[in-house]
Amino acid sequence: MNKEELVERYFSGILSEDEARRLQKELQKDAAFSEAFELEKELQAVLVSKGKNDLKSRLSHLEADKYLKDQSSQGSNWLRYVAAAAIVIGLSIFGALYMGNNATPEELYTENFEPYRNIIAPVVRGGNAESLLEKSFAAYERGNFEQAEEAFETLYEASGDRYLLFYRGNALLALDRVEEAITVFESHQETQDNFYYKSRWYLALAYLKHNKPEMALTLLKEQVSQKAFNYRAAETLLSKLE
Amino acid sequence: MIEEPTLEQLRTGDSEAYTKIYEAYRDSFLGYARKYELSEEDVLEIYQDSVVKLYENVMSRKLNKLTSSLKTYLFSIGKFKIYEQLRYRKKRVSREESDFKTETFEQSYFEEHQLTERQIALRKHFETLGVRCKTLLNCFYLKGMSLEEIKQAEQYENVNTVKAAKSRCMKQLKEKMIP
Repeated sequence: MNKEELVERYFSGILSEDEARRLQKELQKDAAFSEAFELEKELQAVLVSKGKNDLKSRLSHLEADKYLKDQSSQGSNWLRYVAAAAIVIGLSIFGALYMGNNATPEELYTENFEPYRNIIAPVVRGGNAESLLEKSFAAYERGNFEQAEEAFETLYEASGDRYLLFYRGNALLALDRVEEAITVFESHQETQDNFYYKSRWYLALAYLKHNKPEMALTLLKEQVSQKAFNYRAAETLLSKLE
Repeated sequence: MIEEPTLEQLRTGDSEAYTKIYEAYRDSFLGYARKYELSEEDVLEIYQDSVVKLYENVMSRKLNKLTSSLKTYLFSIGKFKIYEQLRYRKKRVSREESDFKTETFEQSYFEEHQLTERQIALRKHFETLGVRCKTLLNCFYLKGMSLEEIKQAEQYENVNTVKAAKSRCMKQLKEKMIP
């Protein structure tokens, strides 16, 4: 068996122990071969990571499409509805008492905006603890949005990881830099990743803050019809806007 | 318990197979995780990441032999991730708790790693390759198909043309990597 066949068997995952030892020997003997093999292994890691992203996105869509819709069609989760109704009623009373019936879009924004929690940094492990990614999310959690926003931008330029756009949009909103936030969310939504509907929710809020309730309305309606992220809150918002 | 797909089936990377596993054990995982102070949203996030980790370990050939059911393996990943999440939030939790002892599996295989800078560059350049190159490299390096299988699936003339095409694609990629 020649070197090429050993490599082929390696990537097919069918290398025997004996073959693995032979491959190891060949790699030690031949620097150029070893270098090429390293690149091949890195390519494998890259392709696996791409596959991971696709699968993750598929699973979150499945979750949003199937299970959330199931809940609403089965009617077996009546407790949730009672709870949701209670919250809606509670909020409306609160709204009626404190805001009058005509809250401005900006007030509605303030009522609803909360930067999306960090679900990225907890998984950043095994690397060096001082990476820019960890620092940026640490800043984000501390509420240092200025520092976080800059870091997200730098990281996005370097890696092209699209969730960074989503978090950057959040940081910009928190900094009241609404127009920039709108641009960033819009560019994030050019592709659909795990944060797609979350991003649309925040874009809707940004439109409210920017006093463009009609733009927010369209987005919120879709959020509700898709039973997507925060759709119950979207329903409440819609009822107040319409 | 469903009839679980075999490792060979999972190795093709077929997302249907992973979705099937996801659906089969979703409720059972939610039930298991109920005892921890985590929201359902967090638990689902962890569960999704666990299935994705299973995919990673199968596809990168770290998981070569199953000594238990897939469900047991998947739940070990899930438990590890719950533990990490709780520890991250500084909730009092000790590794001694029986739930988090999963010494039957190599725990380092459950940890997440970011791509290195070189790999990020490689990913960028890979995207600029032609469709045929991308498909070919995916078949070989991700799905682990043999040259013979690729010849049949992608209608190459013979194994040698597959081999030649593969070297050309890798050469292109290598050249793009030179700064």
